[in-house]
Amino acid sequence: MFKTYKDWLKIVSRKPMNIFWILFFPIILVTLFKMTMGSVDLVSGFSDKIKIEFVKTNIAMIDSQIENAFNSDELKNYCEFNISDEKQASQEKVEKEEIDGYFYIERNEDGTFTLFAKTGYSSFANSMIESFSEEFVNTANKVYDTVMKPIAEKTEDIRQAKFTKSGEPTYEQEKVPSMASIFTYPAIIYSILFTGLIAQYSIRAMSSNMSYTGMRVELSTEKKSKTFIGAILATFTVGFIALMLLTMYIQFILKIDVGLTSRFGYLMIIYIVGLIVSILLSSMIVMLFPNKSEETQTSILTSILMLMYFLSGGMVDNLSLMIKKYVPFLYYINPAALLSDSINYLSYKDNLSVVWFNLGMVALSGVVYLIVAVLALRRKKNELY
Amino acid sequence: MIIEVKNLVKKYSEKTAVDHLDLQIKEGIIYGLLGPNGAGKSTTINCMLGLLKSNEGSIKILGEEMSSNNLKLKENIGVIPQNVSVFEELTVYQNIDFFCGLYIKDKEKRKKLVEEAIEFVGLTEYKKYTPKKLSGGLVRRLNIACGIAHKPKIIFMDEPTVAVDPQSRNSILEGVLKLKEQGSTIIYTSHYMEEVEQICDEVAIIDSGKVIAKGTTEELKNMITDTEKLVIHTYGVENKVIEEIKNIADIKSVEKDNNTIKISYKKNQNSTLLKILQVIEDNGVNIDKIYNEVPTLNTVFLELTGKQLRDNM
Repeated sequence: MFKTYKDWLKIVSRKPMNIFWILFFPIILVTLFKMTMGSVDLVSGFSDKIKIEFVKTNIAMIDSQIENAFNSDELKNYCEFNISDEKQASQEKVEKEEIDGYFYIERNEDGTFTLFAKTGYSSFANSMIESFSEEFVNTANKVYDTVMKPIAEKTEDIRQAKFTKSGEPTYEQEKVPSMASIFTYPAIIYSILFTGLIAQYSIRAMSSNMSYTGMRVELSTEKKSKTFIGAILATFTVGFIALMLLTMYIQFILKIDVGLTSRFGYLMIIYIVGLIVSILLSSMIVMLFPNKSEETQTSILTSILMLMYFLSGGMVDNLSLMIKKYVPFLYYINPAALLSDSINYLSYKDNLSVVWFNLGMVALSGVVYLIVAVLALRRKKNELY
Repeated sequence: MIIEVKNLVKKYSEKTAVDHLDLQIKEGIIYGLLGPNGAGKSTTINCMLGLLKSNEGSIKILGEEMSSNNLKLKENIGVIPQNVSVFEELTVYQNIDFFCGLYIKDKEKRKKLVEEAIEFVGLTEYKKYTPKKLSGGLVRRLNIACGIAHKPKIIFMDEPTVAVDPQSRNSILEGVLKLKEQGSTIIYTSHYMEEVEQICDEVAIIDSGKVIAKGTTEELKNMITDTEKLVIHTYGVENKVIEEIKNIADIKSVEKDNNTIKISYKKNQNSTLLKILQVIEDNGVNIDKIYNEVPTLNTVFLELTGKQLRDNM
């Protein structure tokens, strides 16, 4: 099996289109996203310091912590910070474009606190609104990390601090990812999904009813299962290496956090589950349409993968969230959306129960794909050629 | 017999692809399978190889039934499919090594076999080339090398010379004959009847899933005709000569086309041939060339099935 594995590594990795689709194309995508949707450097070229206010809570510990945080050297580079006495007064300042936004905290019925952020965009040119939002949110996230966490640790009734941008429902996110991130995560998933396309070639080449190479394997003394596993493992390996290179590029060159350094183990689990499921999806399509040509199978699979990518928000901002809210079924059967959101949670959330739930759902999809593939294979068992 | 197929029946729903087919293939020969598209050749071969389950009948190769678990039998079989089945990303050496590696685990032994296969098909100087850099003929040779590297006793070759240049075709045919000399038994299907006539020791003609004739090429030709055809190219001939030839006993027909005379007469009548030559000599006819028009396998196929073989392939 090891020989088959080594040979298949050469076969899979020497196909230029394979490497293009799972590595270079996602790299081009994320680079373009990063360039067009703003990095910190890009924004700073267009804007002054962000003027923000905090509506004091009259809870001395919270107020002093936030004030300390905003007066830290790190945040001073980004923000011009002031304390406000009333929410209404800060809101008016936003409307008059005197400040860019403000924070306020509300106590919930269950005793927890929610941290809100309200932003006003009018001080920026329309084209920079999203970039400003990103900058503002990034700053606010720093507040969350430096202020709310210590508070939560010390104060029993501040168990959960939530943060949101203006105009968005508070339940969606505790911290909001940047625009570039929103499009980057699906691009990673794109790479995972398209490994399935490579697997399609491997599966065909090892199946006696789909290719003459498969016929040769079938007639050889080598156990077919060993050859098959060797080929699939090689495909997995190539997909995984491409994924790691892509991730390192995103994390270290583009400096978009995907949890590579902070939550390496979780990220690897997401990648491994994703790759296995994409290979199983591909197997299912191949087994369901065994008599179709390679081109037809590729078209079917590509259409499904592109649809998954689109629905996971790879092309339209927040589409995945809208689907999750309004058509949850469609969200939960789409591994791309589930995996993409999992990476999002890794980077922006502390609570990882959603990651495990999503991975469970993705694994369940994989089981369904596997069952369908096996049933389809059994149907054709007697007609191998 | 190295392969015995008895009463083989294979049905696809209502259609009978192979209809009570019998074949006996001796060891060490090249056995040709001829037939138009849909005749049942591929189905027969796939049943022999165990890729398809037959509805009735039995197939024995080396005295054993083919099955996916019969590894001993599998190691004695090599397959060269009609379509080139190699990996574009691997070099010539790596491709042969890949397929040989499906049979031979010992690295040193495999290396030796791969080198031998490369030399056998004449690809020594191309062994580091990928198939993309090879001509069609060379790729066909690689396709063959991948099927024979493990030195099988029985080789199934499905149209191995399709779409290759004459030079490569000759090289492939020489290779097939060499494999036979080395003791392999070859089951050979081809569109080209000249090839089958040239290299096959025995031939089975299949049509509509049935063997309609089998035997050596000579036996097949003898099967269909009791007539010899003589063609004489002259420098000029008078009608009087034609009339005289027509009067010879056992002459079936005489045609004159400018200076060419085509004569049909009953087979194995040597005296008839002498009498014809005598008339020619007596009339002082100058002969440019003279030959017997030999029936081809195409003629045989046409006589037996009423179809042109090549047109139907």
